[in-house]
Amino acid sequence: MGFRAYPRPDGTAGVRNHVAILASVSYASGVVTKVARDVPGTKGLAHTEGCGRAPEDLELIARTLAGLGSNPNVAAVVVVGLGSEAVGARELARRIAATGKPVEVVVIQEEGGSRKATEKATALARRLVEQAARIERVEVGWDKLTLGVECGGSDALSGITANPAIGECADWLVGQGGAVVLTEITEMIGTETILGRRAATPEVARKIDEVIGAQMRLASSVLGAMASGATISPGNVKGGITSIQEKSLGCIIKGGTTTIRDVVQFAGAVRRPGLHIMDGPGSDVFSITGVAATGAQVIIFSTGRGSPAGFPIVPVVKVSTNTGIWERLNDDIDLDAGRIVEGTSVEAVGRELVDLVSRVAEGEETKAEAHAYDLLSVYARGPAVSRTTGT
Amino acid sequence: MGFLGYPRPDGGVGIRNHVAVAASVSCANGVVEALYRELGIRKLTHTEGCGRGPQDLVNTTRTLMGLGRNPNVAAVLVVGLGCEFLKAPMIAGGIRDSKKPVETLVIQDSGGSQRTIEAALAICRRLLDEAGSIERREHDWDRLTVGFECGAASSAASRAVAPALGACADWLIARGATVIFPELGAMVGAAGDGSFPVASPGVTDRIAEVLAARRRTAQKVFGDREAARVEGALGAGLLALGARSRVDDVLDYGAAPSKKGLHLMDTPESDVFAVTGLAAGGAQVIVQTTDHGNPAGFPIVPVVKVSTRSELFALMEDDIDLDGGRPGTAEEVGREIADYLARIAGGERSKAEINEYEVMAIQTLGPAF
Repeated sequence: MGFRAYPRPDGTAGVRNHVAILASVSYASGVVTKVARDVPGTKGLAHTEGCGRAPEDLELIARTLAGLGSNPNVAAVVVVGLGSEAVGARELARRIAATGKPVEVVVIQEEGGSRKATEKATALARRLVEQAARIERVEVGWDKLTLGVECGGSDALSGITANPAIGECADWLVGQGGAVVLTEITEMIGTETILGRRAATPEVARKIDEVIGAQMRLASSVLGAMASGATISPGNVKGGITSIQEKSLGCIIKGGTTTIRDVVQFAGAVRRPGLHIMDGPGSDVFSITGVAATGAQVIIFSTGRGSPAGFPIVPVVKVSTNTGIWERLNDDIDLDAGRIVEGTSVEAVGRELVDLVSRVAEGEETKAEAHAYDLLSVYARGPAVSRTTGT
Repeated sequence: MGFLGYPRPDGGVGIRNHVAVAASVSCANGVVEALYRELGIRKLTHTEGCGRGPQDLVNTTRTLMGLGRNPNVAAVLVVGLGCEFLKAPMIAGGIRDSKKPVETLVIQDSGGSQRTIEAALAICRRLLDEAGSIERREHDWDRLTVGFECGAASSAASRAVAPALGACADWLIARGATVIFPELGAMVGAAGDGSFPVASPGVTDRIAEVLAARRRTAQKVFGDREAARVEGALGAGLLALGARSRVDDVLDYGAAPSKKGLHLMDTPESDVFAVTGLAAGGAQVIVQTTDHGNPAGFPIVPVVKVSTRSELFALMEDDIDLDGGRPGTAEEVGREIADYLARIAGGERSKAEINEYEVMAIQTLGPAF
């Protein structure tokens, strides 16, 4: 038993069938936004990066953008560039085309300006949407699903209601041969021993230790003595969390209890089954982008304070940690795990979540999808620096 | 003779009469986008507001408050999520110093995103109505702040057009206007701080401080040799400009001038971040030179594009306002830019405004957590 999804040429399967309009650089975002607005069936991936960053950030950005275009939920891509940017549109298109999906490139400068580029990209997008509409869902195994698990606006109940229920769902999927991506390394600080014991190999344990250690050093170097307090948000504190270690213990449980197969870099592709850890910040909007770029087709997101966050090309299933927030922010949340404190079992909510993820995988809209509450923030680790090319 | 602009309660003068909706944190962007789609208000969306180090949070706060205070904005709605570091009421409080109407909505206190959008629509309709009753009046040039975003020394073509920009800046300053050049590192850089006139020794010290900090960043990011190469390639922009005006003050990223005259702003040498800094500093109009035809404008400030090469202007006339590469003396081309700025100030739309082509990005210096 599996689910019905859109088959892709590289053997992956999409739970959605979007045509993505992807900016290779911030300057192309205006074209992307207009095309996505005017052509139904497309999703705009507009952002503010692609130039004026250090070499390693530019590679991180290129990996993120290539990963988003390669995500199985994307049937085809139009990459839009300016013509002089560091992350070149053609290079990006080449990386995405390795998946075998149709990829087109529009370079504003070569078209003679943004209006002509918009016209060309619009025509290409319409043709790609028509082509994509001919792809039909087929039955595939759960081994084709990669699930991202996230939390944002955590409270004191996150670690005993929503996150353990998400963990149940993660364990179920790993049992079916699927993959799970756990991230938000800041929210793993203090748990390296626990996670290390679950590593598949000593090498994986070493990598876990390394990424958490690096994040801890980074936090201390920027935040100093405030590191413990400032790595959790004021909302977390108001929600009853007292320290980053406490938040971490509640955070990691949403990855479930299975063996940790590997650690991948931010936005690095996840191609094998089992539980993976992705390097990256705890800040949820950046983090979701990285997880989507690993190839995750569905993301589950627990929230105690309430977040409307969705993502353009990946359905984000929102789970409330307390019933109060579920009642107040019902338009933005898909399932209430707060019932667990009233006596509903973690297993029961975990099973409901498996059902919900299955339905979403087969096409049911999440609340964030219904409202098109699409947030996309492309992460850069270091400062903005001298452009190495002109604009 | 001056320009026709919208008077603001704090004495500022807008050359546009926008209602802006700002996200205090990226999580609120979806509400702002919905209002943009529905009402065409100016959207101030970004990727910041939470999970950053203190320096970046302070920087984002200053930027968002500055954007709200920009005289081109008649009224502001700030939308927050609720659990973030940069709270909507705090940002709104800073904007309220300008005495313009400022409202706030917090998604977690308003019953979620959809109810927030409903409430925001009602607020924005009222703000648009109120703003509609403000009329343009004659004002002197001393009410105008102009940002000049130019890679003054980044290519032969931009070096060639730089003196025209310098002439334009001089023309404006002579009439009492305030001028801001961002990318301090590129403006001064390898030329050193003794090679152009400054208003006081304090300005020289501040320039040296900013340069040292930018140099440390470049060395950390690129290594010593590459940092020196970049600095050598970019520096000396001020000399290329040939501006006769002295440097009156140095501004932090997104900070507004407290004096008239020529200012340098501490921004990265990357236009997408620099333009946001200029707008937050209160520039009502920005002149941007372009080597490659970047079509991006800014949500609340008209950006006038000047090509550094005539072929580029011919190729991308839909996106570029003026040809800086045309034959003529620096004074002639500078005067042409100044005349065009006067028309834009009076209400004529720039190419990026006509195309509704807007990009906004706030600079960050450190990682996210």
